[in-house]
Amino acid sequence: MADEPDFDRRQMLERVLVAGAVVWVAGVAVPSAMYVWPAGSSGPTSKYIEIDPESVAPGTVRVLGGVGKPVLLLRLKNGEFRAFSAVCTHLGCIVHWNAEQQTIQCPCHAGTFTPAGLVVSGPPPRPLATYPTQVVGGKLRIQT
Amino acid sequence: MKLREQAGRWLDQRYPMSALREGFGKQMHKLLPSNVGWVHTLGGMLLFLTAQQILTGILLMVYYRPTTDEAYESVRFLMLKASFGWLIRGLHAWGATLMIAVLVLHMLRVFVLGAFKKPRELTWVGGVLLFFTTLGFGFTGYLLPWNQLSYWATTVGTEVVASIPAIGHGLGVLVRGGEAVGQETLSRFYVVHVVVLPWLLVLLVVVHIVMIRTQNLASLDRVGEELPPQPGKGVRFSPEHLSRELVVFPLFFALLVALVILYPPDVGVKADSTVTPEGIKPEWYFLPTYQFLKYLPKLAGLALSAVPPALLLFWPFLDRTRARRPSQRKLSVSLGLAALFLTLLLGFVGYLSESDLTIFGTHLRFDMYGVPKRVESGR
Repeated sequence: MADEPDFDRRQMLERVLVAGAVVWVAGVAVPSAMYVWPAGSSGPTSKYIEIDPESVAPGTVRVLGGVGKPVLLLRLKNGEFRAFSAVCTHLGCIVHWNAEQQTIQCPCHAGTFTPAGLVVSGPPPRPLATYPTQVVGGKLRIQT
Repeated sequence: MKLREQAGRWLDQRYPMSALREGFGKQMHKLLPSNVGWVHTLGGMLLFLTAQQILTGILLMVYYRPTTDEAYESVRFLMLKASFGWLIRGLHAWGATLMIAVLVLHMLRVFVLGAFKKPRELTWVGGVLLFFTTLGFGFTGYLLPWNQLSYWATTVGTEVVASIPAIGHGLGVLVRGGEAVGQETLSRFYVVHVVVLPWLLVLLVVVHIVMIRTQNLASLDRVGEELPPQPGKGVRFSPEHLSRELVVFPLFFALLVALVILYPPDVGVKADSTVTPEGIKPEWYFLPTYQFLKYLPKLAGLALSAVPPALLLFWPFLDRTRARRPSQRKLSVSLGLAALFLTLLLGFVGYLSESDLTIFGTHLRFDMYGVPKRVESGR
């Protein structure tokens, strides 16, 4: 005599319906979750900015926007260029140059950095990211 | 009148209208516990504000354009050129502020009167979820005018999210739609603000009201000793409680319109991703968290700032004493009021931080921690 099945046809139908609903939800949820993940977040990250070096007088700074995150370009009094990410490492505000104190400062939580981008005081956990600079064909190229 | 009767008969022949009328009438004349009074009108005001935010939000969408090039200009346009645009935006902005304020008062009433206790624990949890949803509206809506303040407050807010260990960076990218606040962020916030959150809000409000109507409002009797309101002793929803709502409503609406006229919301300066202005701050209801995070190392601050919302959400399962009257729950009520006082204090210090103030001729500069320092004149 054959064993009695563990469940009848009605229960079988219910299980198929539940399994189908789970498959359908997963089938919709996975592509939807992947869809909302930013499409451009894994794109190329290495870019450069070119400017006329004479547009920045010694002892002054320029904040360069346009390509990626803003860049703080500092020209020291001896003519040397230093380029940093202008994004504060604390909470993402844009730093500025304090000519009087010769420091880089964040307007949000008073983070202060040296002209080399190192943290002097305040909450920033890391130095500012630095970018290499070089003069190519009379233009200053900042590799970001 | 004849037309109305005919229409009624026409509907009666097709749908169970008498049962619906009977159900509606039963709800309208429902007997509420005798302790229900003026403080219980706050829930009704929240319902009005929800409806008003949806209506004014729809009207704002007529002119608003969710692109980084046009968002700011479109808000300026609707404020300055569209007929009564200033009023519509003012009602929406001040409505949002009052919604948070009234929600806090409403939750305070429920907390102090012990109405969150058994069997209404899930009604409280649903209410706290409504509170979080409303904060979500505030956070996403703040960015939409695309001005300096909103841009940088969102940058700081999403950086806080990105600071969460392990999952933070991915979460930040997901929220912003990229590494920095930009068009992708604006699009995402817009969709969440005008589609996702409104549906969630309506769903939660409906569930909340059904729960309240099913269990009735809480009396002051101890848990397990509640009796249904007795005829002649309770308060009828209509006309007694409804008349209270009708007294509070015009006063409340007058306050709202007065705020819009006296303190119209500013459009500010258009967002500039290369310049962070001094003293950027979030909306007032995020000030306590904003200030709290300044006093602690980043990770400790983030971990600890998750504690108050969790306590709020699960409070009915932590405070399981049976008394409801505040006089019989002195410890619990004192703890709650102390937490509220601390929150308000942190918010006030956050408001003062990184600002200047002159008190009786003394110029003070408050640093990021809210500590005042005297500033000599001429500096």
